[in-house]
This record gives sequence, structure tokens and C-alpha cells, in this order.
Amino acid sequence: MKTNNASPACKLERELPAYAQGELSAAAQATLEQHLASCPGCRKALQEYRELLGALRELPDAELSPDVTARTLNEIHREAARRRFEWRPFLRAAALWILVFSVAAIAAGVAWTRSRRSRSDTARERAAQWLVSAQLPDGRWDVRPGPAPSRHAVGITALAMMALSGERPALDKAAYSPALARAADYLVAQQAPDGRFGAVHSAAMYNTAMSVIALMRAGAGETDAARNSAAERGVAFILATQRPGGGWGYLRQPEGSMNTSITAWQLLALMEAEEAAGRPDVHDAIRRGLDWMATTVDPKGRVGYSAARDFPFGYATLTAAGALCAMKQSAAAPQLLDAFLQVARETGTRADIYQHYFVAAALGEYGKPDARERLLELQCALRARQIAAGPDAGAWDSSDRWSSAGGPVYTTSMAMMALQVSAGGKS
Amino acid sequence: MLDASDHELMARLRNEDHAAFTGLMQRYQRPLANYFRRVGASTDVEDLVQETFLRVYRYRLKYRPQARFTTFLYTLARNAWFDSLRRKRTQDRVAERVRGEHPPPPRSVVGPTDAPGLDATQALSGLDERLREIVVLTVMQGLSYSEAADILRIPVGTVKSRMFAALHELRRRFHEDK
Repeated sequence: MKTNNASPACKLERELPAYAQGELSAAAQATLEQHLASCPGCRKALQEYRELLGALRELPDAELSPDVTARTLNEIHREAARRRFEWRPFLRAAALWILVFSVAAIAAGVAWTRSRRSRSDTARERAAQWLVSAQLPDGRWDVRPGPAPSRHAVGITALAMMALSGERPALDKAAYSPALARAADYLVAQQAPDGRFGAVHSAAMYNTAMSVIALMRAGAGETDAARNSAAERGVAFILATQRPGGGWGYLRQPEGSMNTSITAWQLLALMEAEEAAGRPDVHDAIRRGLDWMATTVDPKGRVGYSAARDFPFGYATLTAAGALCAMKQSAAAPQLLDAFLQVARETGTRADIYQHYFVAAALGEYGKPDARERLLELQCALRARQIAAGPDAGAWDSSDRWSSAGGPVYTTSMAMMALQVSAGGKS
Repeated sequence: MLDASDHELMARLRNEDHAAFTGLMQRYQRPLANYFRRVGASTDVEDLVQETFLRVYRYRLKYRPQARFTTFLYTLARNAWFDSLRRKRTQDRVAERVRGEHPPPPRSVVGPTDAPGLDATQALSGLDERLREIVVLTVMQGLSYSEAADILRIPVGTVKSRMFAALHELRRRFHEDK
């Protein structure tokens, strides 16, 4: 910004606006006043700054029709009627009791419903059971079993937690509570004092974003102070590492280095914080992140990696992830949506599971009828790839580009989350 | 109602006291309208004021009285303003099929002034967006530097240096016009 480079004739002139606005400390004020007595240039500048400030303050009020208050109240009454559950605590309590009785009723009917359970539920149930069996004694999940955690252990643990937390109804989730609790304790123990999860390496930003989402989802409806505070500190780390340009990049890289892959995960974590924990203060960071991401979209609507048309790993997954983030904030440009729908049409059974997940999640967010059909096709293709028999029955194999690094826990978690997406609803 | 503090009114709003909310709206609708007009809103000032109060209402249960109410209010107002800019940019892109261009600053963002020897209206509208925001918050809305820093989430020192840059630039233009 060229105006920030304004060079005053006298060094102390920089203090004059703050002085004229009463924002200097007593000591700084005394020093300046002493200087003013001997500097005619600064006296003249001060006089002009005061005139400027006076003229700016005297600008007339904006016009406002008298019924703004009444119109706003009307709108609030309409909204309150729509969201009565939210602002009537006693109704919420009643709803909770109804839920409890419903759950009891569902439990009574489990034997009957089991026979009618959809293939998707069966696939997810088998996957969840495999995940629980693959958890290591210290609470983590990892690329492969062993005493020493891999550099991806934090992220993989978080993804497995996200997958298990996404299991509904609450009946199933309760069955996974002990596994989730041990994993949450593992994650909390991996947090650094600055809020980051895991060590500083290339996966640190992914690990932190995924851990924040996992802890928030696993802790939803529960009040575990340690987990909540760990998630909050994770959010603070994400906010603190946002680059001035609005995106995020690898730690220890120059400030201008940002990429949409890391940025998408940070945005998803911040949106989780805003939605689940009611954090209006992250809204600004989300907006700046989305604005930066918009600069990586080319005229065809495809999302680049570090800039428009930068596609070192293709554009399909990034376009799906970018569309997901933007749609969650109702900020997807039409060409981005068009490009995403094209990606969704072209995502075949050979695509990696990471792409499957983001395409499925974005289709769910998109929620239109044609998207629902495509989502069901993708989920069908995913179920067909689930391992049917043997010691790893219920898991997905780890043979594609990313999953060969993440192992079967990673693949299985991503596949489970893709299967949890419902059209027009959240994953 | 007129004597109640902002925090008291917010506490009553948490208990669904809509009269308290009316009190807050009457207290802040004019400053908010001025804020939106001066940062650059034109025809949609009233919609933005309404949107800001709706957000206050939605966040009433999350509101913590540790910070000043105005910090909370202007943070929500600023979010509403940027959201509306983003929507407008999207619409512009579709309409004009031009990608990545920001809308030009409005010709006049503050309305006419009678101040002799200085067209503050024109001068302010020509300022860089970040500098204009600082001037609007600290000069026109009367917020302290530290409160502006909280709203913009920048250090107080940056508020101070941007304020100097803004006034220095306005003064330069004033001299050029003479």
C-alpha cells in the first residue's frame, strides 16, 4: 500500500494524528509537546490534521427510514418462530427427553430393523468395527501397528475419530465412545504449547486442522474441559498461522507461500468451530481464506494449488474441496460450481479415496436432486471396493496415490466419511 | 431503557426481552448506518443495518460481556459488510464475465459536506480501503485505537501507523487541490 510509505518531513510528525485524537501516552504526549514548541513544521501539520479530523467528523448522517427497527423486529419474530427450539431452553430439554424415549424405542426395535438395514449401514458398521479393532493400545491409529508413532499418527487418529463420530444413530456412536475417548486423550497429549497438534513437519497443518475437527465432533454434546480447551487452542493456532494473504501454507515456509489443500482443511476446521462452538471471531478468518482461495480459481472454475492454473496434482480434488468450503459459506461462484459438477461427473471408480471423499462431501452440500443420484453412484462404487473377507474385512485397501502413505486406517476413515454423506445434509 | 448500559440490555436480550433489543437498535442504528455509508455502502445501507442486528440477535447467547459491546457490534457489522461485498463481487462476475476484478471504490461514499476548503467526501472515497476503514472507525465512529485494533484484529501500532498514512494522504490531496 503506497500510502503506508508516506515519509513525513519530521520524524515526530507520525505521532500527530494519535496526539490529535488523544491516543498518546502521557510520556509520549509530553515529549511531543516539547517538540512542537520548537518545530513550526509540525505545528502547521498538527493544525491541518485537526482541520481534517474536524471536517471528517462533521459529515452529515446517513439517511435512515423510521421503520428500520420495526422491520428488524418483524424479521426476528419470524426467525424466532422458525428456530423456537434454539431459544427456548425448556423446549430443548423436552426435546432431549423425547429423544431419549425415541432412542429407547429404537433400541427395542433393533432386532427388527437389523434385518432391514441398508447396505450402506452394513458397510459402515463393518468399517467401524474394523476401525475399533485397529486402534493401538495408546489410543492412536497409525499407518501400521508399531510402538513408535509415525509422523501421520495424529492426522490418522483424527480422521478415524471423525469417521467414528459420524456414525449415527446415537446408539451406534455410544458403542464407539470408549475408543473415541482414548483417541481424544491421545490427541490432547500430542498438543504443543502453541496449540499445534503433533511435531513441526510437513503434516503439521493437516494434523492440527483434523484434530480440531475430530475433538469438536467427538466432544459434541459433552463437556470435557480438557478436550474443549485443546480444540480452542488448536483454533487459536490456525488463526495465528493464517498468512497475511488470507490462505495457509506449510509451516516454516515464506509468508507468501500458500496452497489450497492446506487452506481447505483449515477452513473446514474454522467452520466447524464457528458452527459447533459459536465462534463469531473466526468468521473474518474464514472470509479472508475464501477470498484468497477465490484467487486460485481459473476462468473455467477449476481450483489451483498455489495460484490459478497451478495443477501439480490435477484439479479435481482441489476443485471439490474448494467448492465444499465455499458452499458451506454460501459463497461459491457459479463457474466454481460448474467446474465441481463436471469433476463429480467424471470421478470414476479408479479415483483415489481422498477425491471420492471431497466429491461426496461437496455433492452432499450441493444437495440438488441430480447431485443426489451421482452421490449414490459414488457411494455404491465405494462399497464395491470394501474388503469383504479375511483379517481386514470391513476396511478399504490402501493402493492408491495417497492411501499408500496413509495406510488402511486412513483409507477406511475417508471411505466411511464419504458413505456418511447424505444428499442435502451434512456428513 | 435509555439509561441501561449496553451490557445490561444484552443480558436482558438473552432472556428474550425484545424491548431491550429495541433499545439497542435505537441506540446504534444511526451509528451503524453512518458506518456502512462511510465505508462505501450505497443503496443497501438499511439492509446492512438490519442484517447486523439480526446477527446480534443470533449471537446473543454467545455474547460475553468481557469486551465492549461496540467491539462485538462493529465486528458483526464488518462481517456483514464484507459478506455483502463478496456477494456483489460474485454477481458482478456473472454479469460481466470478468474474473478476479474487485469493484471500483464508489465515487462518493459519505454524502456531501459543507466544510469550507475541503471536500472530505471525495478525499475519503479515494483512500485505500484499509485506510478508509481506520478513519471511519476511529474518527467518525469515535472508537479508540485499541477497540479498532480488536475489531480489525491487528496490533494497536498498526492502527496508529495506518491512521497516520490515511491523514498524511488526505492532507497531501488537500494541498494538491488548493
